[in-house]
Amino acid sequence: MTFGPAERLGRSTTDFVLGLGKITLFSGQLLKAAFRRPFRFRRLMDELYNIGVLSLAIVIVSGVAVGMVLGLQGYNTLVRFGAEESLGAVVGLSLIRELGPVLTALLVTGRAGSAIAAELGSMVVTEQLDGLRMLSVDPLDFIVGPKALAMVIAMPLLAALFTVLGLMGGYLVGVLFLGVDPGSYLSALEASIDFRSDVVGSLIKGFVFGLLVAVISTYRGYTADPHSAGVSAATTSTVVIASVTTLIFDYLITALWGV
Amino acid sequence: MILGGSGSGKSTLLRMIGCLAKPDSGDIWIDGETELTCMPESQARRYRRNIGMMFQDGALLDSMSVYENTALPLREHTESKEDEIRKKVEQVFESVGLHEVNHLLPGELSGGMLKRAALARALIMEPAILVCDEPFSGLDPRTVRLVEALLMEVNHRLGITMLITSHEIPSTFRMASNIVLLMEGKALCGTPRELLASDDDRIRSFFADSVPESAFA
Repeated sequence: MTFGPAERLGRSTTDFVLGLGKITLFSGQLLKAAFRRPFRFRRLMDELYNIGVLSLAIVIVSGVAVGMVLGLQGYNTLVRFGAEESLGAVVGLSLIRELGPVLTALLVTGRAGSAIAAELGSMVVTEQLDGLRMLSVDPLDFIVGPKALAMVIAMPLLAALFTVLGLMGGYLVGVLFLGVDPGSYLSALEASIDFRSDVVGSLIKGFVFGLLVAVISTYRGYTADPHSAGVSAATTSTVVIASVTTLIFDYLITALWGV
Repeated sequence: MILGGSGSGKSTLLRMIGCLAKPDSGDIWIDGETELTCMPESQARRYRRNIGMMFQDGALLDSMSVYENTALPLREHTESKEDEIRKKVEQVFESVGLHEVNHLLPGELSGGMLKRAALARALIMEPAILVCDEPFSGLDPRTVRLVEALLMEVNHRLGITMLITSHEIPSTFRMASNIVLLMEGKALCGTPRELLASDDDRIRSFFADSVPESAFA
């Protein structure tokens, strides 16, 4: 049976709306499971270690590297206008408002989001989730909930770490290598950053991105088709969908709230 | 025992009995009282406490040790203290012939040991019904006989109803009191003797390669 363009468009639209409905229902169930007693503190700690601690290396290295590049590029641009003393403001605003939370979300999606989807997908294939159901244990509550909650907690903290290390990277290049006055760098940074709109806004972005990556990665893994190609598809789609959604939400948050 | 070729729906039938899957049409009744198909998940969770399920590949959580896997239902559904849990788990391990596996992960067990560990987890809550999905798959003939003997021993000792899917015809005839043969979307039921005495060509041809001609009445 073949479909014309109109039918295909209709089919894709209904599939999209259906998918949106399913992920919304899943998010509701996940939220309920996250607050259901008993609170699974030990499992949450394990997941915080897997998602947060094990992402530290990539976040630290990337944060410093991005800060150094920003310092170098910013200096090369600003020096043309004789404004190199504003380097702290350029590096600070770029990192705190945008690059810190966005790049952290992309990095954590690649490292931890994909791992969550792959792990849950494998558990579907090997019937581990059905095994839990047969023990009258809700997999959403026991397995998925702690992973999602850990992602929501870890993301803003990792984004904050990324930002701080980026500022240090910018300082390293600007002040130590290129000779910008340290006082100017720090005072320009301090003067240009508003705690409420910039720092809190950055943390809010980190929280929202954590929520998005948590829901997308757990949903894709939990609903993976029960075969190896299904796990692979779940992992790939997690990275693609979570990355694109992060960038779209970044624009929306910036446009709507000016963060 | 539920017999049938690959893709005949044995595992799907067990999943429907475990309320893990819903049929495309029709209803499933337990004891003429409990209707499974429309059961909400919260009620299904209570219903499943009476069923122990041994999955084909064990389905143990691979991030937890065999001990933790077996103790999990006790931790989730009882108020038992840690030493009571330990005692109960050790008793079940002893009854299924598992020794010194407490700290091993499921991935570190052999096929036969994994089946025993899955059986131990299925029995830990003392279910009214034990459901086993292909307990002999992937095992060498000697281990098949060991697992078969173990299931028979559990059946006699605990006196619980057991529902087993298999495509191992010799094991089925040694173990079954009743057989459900799934063929061409139909369930043909009877005792082993009744099925062998059947003049239905489909049944005779299904058993032809595994049962000697003299066994047919």
